[in-house]
Amino acid sequence: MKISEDRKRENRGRIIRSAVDAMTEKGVKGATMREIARAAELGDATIYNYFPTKEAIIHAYYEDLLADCAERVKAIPDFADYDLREQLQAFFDTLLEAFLPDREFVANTFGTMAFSLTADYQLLRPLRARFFRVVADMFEGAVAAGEIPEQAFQELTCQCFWDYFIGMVHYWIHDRSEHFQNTTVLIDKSLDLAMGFIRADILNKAMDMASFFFRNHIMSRLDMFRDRMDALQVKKPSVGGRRGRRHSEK
Amino acid sequence: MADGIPKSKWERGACVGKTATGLGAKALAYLSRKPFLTHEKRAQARKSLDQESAALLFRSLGMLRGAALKAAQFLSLETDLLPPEITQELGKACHQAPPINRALARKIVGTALGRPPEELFASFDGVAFAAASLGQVHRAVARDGQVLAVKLQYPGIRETIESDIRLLRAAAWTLPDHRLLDPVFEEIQARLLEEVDYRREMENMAFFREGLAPDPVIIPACRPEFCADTVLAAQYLDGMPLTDWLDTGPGQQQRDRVAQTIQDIFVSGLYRLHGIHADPNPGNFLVRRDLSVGLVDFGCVKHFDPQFVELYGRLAATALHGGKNDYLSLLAGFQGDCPQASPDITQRLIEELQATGAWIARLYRQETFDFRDNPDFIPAGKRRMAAAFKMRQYMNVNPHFIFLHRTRYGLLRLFERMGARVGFRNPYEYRP
Repeated sequence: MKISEDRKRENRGRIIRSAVDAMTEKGVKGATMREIARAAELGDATIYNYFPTKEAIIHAYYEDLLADCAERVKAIPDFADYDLREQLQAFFDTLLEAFLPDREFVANTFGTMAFSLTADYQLLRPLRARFFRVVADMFEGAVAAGEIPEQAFQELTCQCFWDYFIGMVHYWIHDRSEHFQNTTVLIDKSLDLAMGFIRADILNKAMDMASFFFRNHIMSRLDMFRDRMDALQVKKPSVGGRRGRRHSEK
Repeated sequence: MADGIPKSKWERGACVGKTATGLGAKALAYLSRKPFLTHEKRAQARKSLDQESAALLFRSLGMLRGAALKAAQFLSLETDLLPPEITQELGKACHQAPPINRALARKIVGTALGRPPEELFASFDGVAFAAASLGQVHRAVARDGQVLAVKLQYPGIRETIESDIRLLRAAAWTLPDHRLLDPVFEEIQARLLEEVDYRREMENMAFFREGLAPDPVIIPACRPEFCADTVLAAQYLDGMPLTDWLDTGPGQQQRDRVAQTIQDIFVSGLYRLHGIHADPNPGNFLVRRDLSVGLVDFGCVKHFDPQFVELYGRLAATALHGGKNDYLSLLAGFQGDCPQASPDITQRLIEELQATGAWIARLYRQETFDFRDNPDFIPAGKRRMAAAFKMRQYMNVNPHFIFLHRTRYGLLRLFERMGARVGFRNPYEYRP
C-alpha cells in the first residue's frame, strides 16, 4: 500500500520522537528497534522502511534539529542586521536551547554521533554539510557586508566552527551551573576570541604562512631531490663505465 | 584578544597576580630607596609610588571588568579617603560593565523569562541605551504600548563577585591604609551582591514609589511579569541624566529647584520611610521637562531602624547648640556594641564628632545654604571624612551611620557641582 509523503514525514517524526524517549530512559543500547516501532505505532518491520539502524535515527534527530534551528535563527527579528559574531552566537544558543528538552538523550548520544567513525561516517556527512552551509552563509553575508576579509579557506573555517560546536555541546553536557550560564558565558567570551582571529585574518595568514613553508621547504627538498636524481643520472654512466672498465680489465 | 575579558578564575588570578607582583616590586623599590631620602623627597617618592600603584591596579581592573570594575566604582565613592592620584584613575573606571550584544541580550531574556523578547514585547531594542550595575538597560515596548526600561544582568556575574573582590584585596596591599580598606572591601562585596539581586531591587522600587508618592519625584513602576533574577523591567522615564542637564546650562533658579527636590527626596525617605536611595550617582537622577526629578536604579538601598533615624535626627540640633553630654549620648548611640574605649580615646572620638558636628552645623545656620559662597565646605568635609575614616580603628562605628553619611556627603558634592542654593532646615532635624 502506498502512503502519502505527509504521512511518511509524520511517521518519521514519530519514530525519532519515540526513539528519543526510549533512549533517554534506557540508553542507546537498552532501546530496541522493535520497542521504538511499537511506541511509534508502526509495524515491527515497517520501521526499517525509514531507518536501517538506531544510529540512523540518532543522526536524523540531529539533522532535523539543525535544520529547524537554521530556520529559527532566521526568524529572529533584525537577525539580518546582526553582525557575524551575533549571528553565530544566536545560532549556537538556539541549538543548545533546542537540545535542552532532550538533554539526557543528547548526553547519551552526542559523543557517539559526533565522533562516529567509518561505518557511520556516511550518516554524519549530511549533518556536517548542513552545519557547514549555515555557517558558510553567515560568513558569506559578513564578507559581502565588508565586515570581515574574504575567507580564502572557508571550508577550513567551517571545520573549525564544527569542532567548536562539538566542544561547546560537550561543555554544556557537563555544565552544572544555574541555567547553564557557564556555557552561555563561555560561548560569549570564546566568540570574542574567534572573531578577533577572523578579523585579524589569522587563518588566511596561517595558510599563507603554511604555503610559504610548503613552497620553501618542499620545493627546496624537491631541488635537493632533483640534484640527487641528477647526480644519480650522472653516476649511471660512470657505473656503466666502471663496469666497462671492469670488463675491459677482464 | 583585544577586548577579551579573562574568563576563568585562573586567568583572572594570573591577571591580578601580575598586577600584585608589579605593585609589590614598586613598593620594594620605594622601600629600598626610603632610607636614603630626605623627608620631602620621601613624600614625593611615596606620592609617585601611589601614582604608579594606582595606574597598575586599574590597568588590571580594566581587564577584569565585571564585578571588579563595579567595585572600583564603589571605591571611587570612597575616593576622598584615597590619595588623589588613585581617585583620578578610579574616575576613568566608572560605569562600564561587560558589554552584552544583541544575541546575548536575547538569550538572557529567553533564559530568565522563558520566552524570547520578540514574543514578550511589541518591540525590544537589542542595543542598550544605558549601562547599569553589572549589566545594561534596554528599551522595549510592551504589548499594551507602555515604554519600558529593561535591565539585563550579565550571566554568571554573581558568581564572580567574591573571587574578584578577593583578588582585588590581594592587589591592594601596597595602597596606603590598605588595612583600613578591609571593611570597605567587605562592604563593597555585600553591596555588589545586593546590586545583582534584582528581586530585592524590585521590592525597593515599589516601596519608595508608594512611600514618596506626593513628592515631585517620579519612581518608575515595575512590570513584575517581565522581572526575574537577572531581568528587571520598569516603566521608561524620559528626562535627562543630571550631568547632561547641567551641561545644557540651566539657570540658577532651576538648579536650586532641582537640588532642593533631591534633598527633599532624601529627607522624606530617611525620616518618613526610614530608608534611602544610597547611590547618589548623578546618572541616577533624571531631570524632566517640568523640573520634577526621576529616580532610577534602586540596586543600592539602605533601610534603617526607627531608633537610629530618631538619633540621627538629633545630630543637627546637637551640632548647632549641643554640649558635651549631648555628644556623648550621640556617640553611644552611633557606636556598635564594643568594649568601652579608654577615656583618652573617647575624648578623641568626641572631638572628632564635635568637629564633624561643627561642619554639618554650617548647613543649618542660614535659611538656605549657598554652595557657591562656601567653596571651602566640601574640602573641609573631605578632611572630616578622612579623619573619621582613621577613627574607625578605635571604635566600632554603626555601619548604618557610615552608610548614611557617605550618601549624604555624595549628595552635598552633587549640590556643590550644581552650584545650587539648598534649604537644609527641615522639621525632622531642625528645631529653632
